[in-house]
Amino acid sequence: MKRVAVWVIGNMNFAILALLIVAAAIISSDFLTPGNLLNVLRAASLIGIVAVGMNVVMLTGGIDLSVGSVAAISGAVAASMWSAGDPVLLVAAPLLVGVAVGLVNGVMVTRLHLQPFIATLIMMTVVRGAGLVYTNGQPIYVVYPDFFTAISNGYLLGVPVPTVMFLAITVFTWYLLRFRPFGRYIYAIGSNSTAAFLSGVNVGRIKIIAYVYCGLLAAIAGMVLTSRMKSGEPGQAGVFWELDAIAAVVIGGTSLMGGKGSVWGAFVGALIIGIVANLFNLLGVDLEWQQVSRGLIIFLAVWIHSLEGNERVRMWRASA
Amino acid sequence: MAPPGENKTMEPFLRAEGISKAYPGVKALQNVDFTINEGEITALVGENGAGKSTLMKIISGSLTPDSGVIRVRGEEVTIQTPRDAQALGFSTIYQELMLIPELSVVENVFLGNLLATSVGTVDWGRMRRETAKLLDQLGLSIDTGRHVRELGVAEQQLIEIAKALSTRSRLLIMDEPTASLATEEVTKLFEIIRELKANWMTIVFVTHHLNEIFEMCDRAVVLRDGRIVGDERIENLTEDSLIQMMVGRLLAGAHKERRQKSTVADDAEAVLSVRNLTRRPELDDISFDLKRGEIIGLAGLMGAGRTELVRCLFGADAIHSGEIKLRGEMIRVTSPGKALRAGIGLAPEDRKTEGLILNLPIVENVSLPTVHTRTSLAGIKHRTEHREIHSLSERMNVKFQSVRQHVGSLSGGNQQKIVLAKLISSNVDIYLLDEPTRGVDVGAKEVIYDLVRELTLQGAAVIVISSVIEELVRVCDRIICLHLGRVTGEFAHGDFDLDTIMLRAMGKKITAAPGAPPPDIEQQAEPV
Repeated sequence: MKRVAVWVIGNMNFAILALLIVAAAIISSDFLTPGNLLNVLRAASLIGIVAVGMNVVMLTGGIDLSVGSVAAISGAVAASMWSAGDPVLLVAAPLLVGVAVGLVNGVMVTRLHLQPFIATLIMMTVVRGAGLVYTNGQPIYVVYPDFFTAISNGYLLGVPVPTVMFLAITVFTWYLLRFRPFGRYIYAIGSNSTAAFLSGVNVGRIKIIAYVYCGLLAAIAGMVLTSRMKSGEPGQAGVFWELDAIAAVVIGGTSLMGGKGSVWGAFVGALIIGIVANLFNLLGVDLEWQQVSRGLIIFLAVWIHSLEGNERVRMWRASA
Repeated sequence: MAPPGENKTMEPFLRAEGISKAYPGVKALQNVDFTINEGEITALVGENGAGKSTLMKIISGSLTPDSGVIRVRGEEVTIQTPRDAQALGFSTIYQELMLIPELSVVENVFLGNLLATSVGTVDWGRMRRETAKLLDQLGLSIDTGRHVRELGVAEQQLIEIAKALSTRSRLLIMDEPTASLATEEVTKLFEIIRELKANWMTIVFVTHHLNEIFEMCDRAVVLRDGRIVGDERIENLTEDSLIQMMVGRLLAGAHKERRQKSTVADDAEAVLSVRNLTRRPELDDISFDLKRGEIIGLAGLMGAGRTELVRCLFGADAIHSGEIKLRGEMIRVTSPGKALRAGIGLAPEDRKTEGLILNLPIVENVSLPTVHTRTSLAGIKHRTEHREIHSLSERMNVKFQSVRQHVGSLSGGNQQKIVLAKLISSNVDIYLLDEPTRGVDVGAKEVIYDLVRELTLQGAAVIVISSVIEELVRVCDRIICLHLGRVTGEFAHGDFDLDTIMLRAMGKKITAAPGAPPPDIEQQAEPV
């Protein structure tokens, strides 16, 4: 029994997720139907992909507020490229835009020494505006080719493609963080960038890569979104995504100070947000109350994670 | 108040009884009885990890004990928070000073205890006057409106003392107060402490320096592995008996005499040649050669440029002019990464904030500079990495349970060994060691210097910085004195003379012929 409890504290994220699924199944009989579960997964995937990138940046002690704007502009660029009939640019251009924005974020943070919050706030408004300028403020409606619609509507072995992408990206990022030197550097920088620098880590370059990776994932999420909406919406797409992504990361236990947390936290955090939203929809709870309770959920999750650092809980774990 | 010793039956000022405190896996304190007599200076000594900090934190309210009681003059008190301790008149000055750099001197002195006027606004006038009075008492003449960040460490320490005096403290706990002070500053601090004592301040002095204990303290309490193992009046102690109590055994060579002869061959190649290195305003025209197998000591006061010099050699700071040759070839070290690849390693001055990442495991700290070489296509080879670092840590006698253990849970000496392990596993052959023994206990100091000697026998070359000149004299082949960024003296092994080195490090030069007493000392012209 005690072993179980210790495991629960060590893997708080999955414990909370399991508890939530059980609770949701009890509260609503519609929840555990395969159709509904697939809906939940699909809905959670977009924010989830963004949250994984955000998680990497936040592990360095940074933050990226520009992800929503990047998703929007990447959708707009995809739509306009396909309007021009170019299937290569349809895929390549939005990704390049995401990488470029991430690069600018990273350079501002590392070379110009702007605080990440400020640097990415600048890019959040600049990029959102640039998207509107690019499309003259109008959405671009397009009929995408089949391969492109498939990234939002398709299934792979019965699983929605966005969910497959989300899972694949999470696993890949986990590999990067756990098995590549890059991951070591990310945690080292987030924990103590001075010591990392004096241990020979190229702090600037690693941070830039983190922002580029985050921008790239935001662009991917933006492409899935435009594929689903069949339009590029520079003004409407991705609004508040940065906040949802930060919420997912925080629910997953990654510290805003950096250096602490795992990409599986962001994965579970996105699922938790998705499940709660779905449950409220099933129960017919008003959108306003959904907002209020989402705040409460973030509070609860952060409080539970703070237990991990609690001296008494740590002692109790060590004694087991 | 009665002078100490006048009434032997009187209760001591403070008595902690049966104090125990455990952390996961560690019993930091076990049933400790600790008394502090009024008006005395009590030295609390012990190796790192002996439990000194834990005991001090319990008395100052930042930790609560698992069991035990604390009595002040016989009456039981509860100390749950730092405020409780303050209300009892206890002040603690930590090694890492707790001042707020962005606030003024007045604001820091009265932080948390602002004085109010009759209408409830902040009484700046009175606070400024009182602060000025306190500073005057401490012999410090600075403007009370200055920001604390503009002050030196020694001045900041005095501000902390002023803060303690402003709250009418009766007990002053000082955790290694001399750790970051230069010799002159220590002398001044000791004068002030003696004066406080003369005014019936009770003082607890946590220190590693034996000479300070004998110079300043009335009584020494020795902690080892969380237990009190000695409690003696200073008159009844000798350095040897004190060391023996601290480490629990006779130290073979704790007082090891300095090496009889330099072991560096005269014709050994210069691995590192520095010419006219300048970084304004810290370093001015520095030149020297470091030979294979040699240990060079850098002596100097704080601000002499010692740290700046090794940081420049390591690529952590840029140089403005001058050249560096590595094994005869010109190199430009523009980043620590490049330095490490070129075989130059630095153990930084502050190992907790610069040398190590405390919340990461031993293995990740040690392999941070080399992890890319421990990686195959499939990823980091965790198993070989663990095995290699485990055996390296064992070879270096690090006391550890597992390489997954966080470095923050190790004692100071063991942390320093991890810093060295990081350099060793990076295969560097030029070691720059900035205060490698600061905050390290007697036993571990010797182990660290033994390690350094071993490295030089294998062909490494070392530059070591220490504020303790005796230490440099004992371990170095050559000593270079720096003062205000310039080389003010260079001494070969045969010419080591403590006083001369000290004077040169203080920027003074001896004009009289050597051996003609008394030497005539004059202030060297300072660079304009």
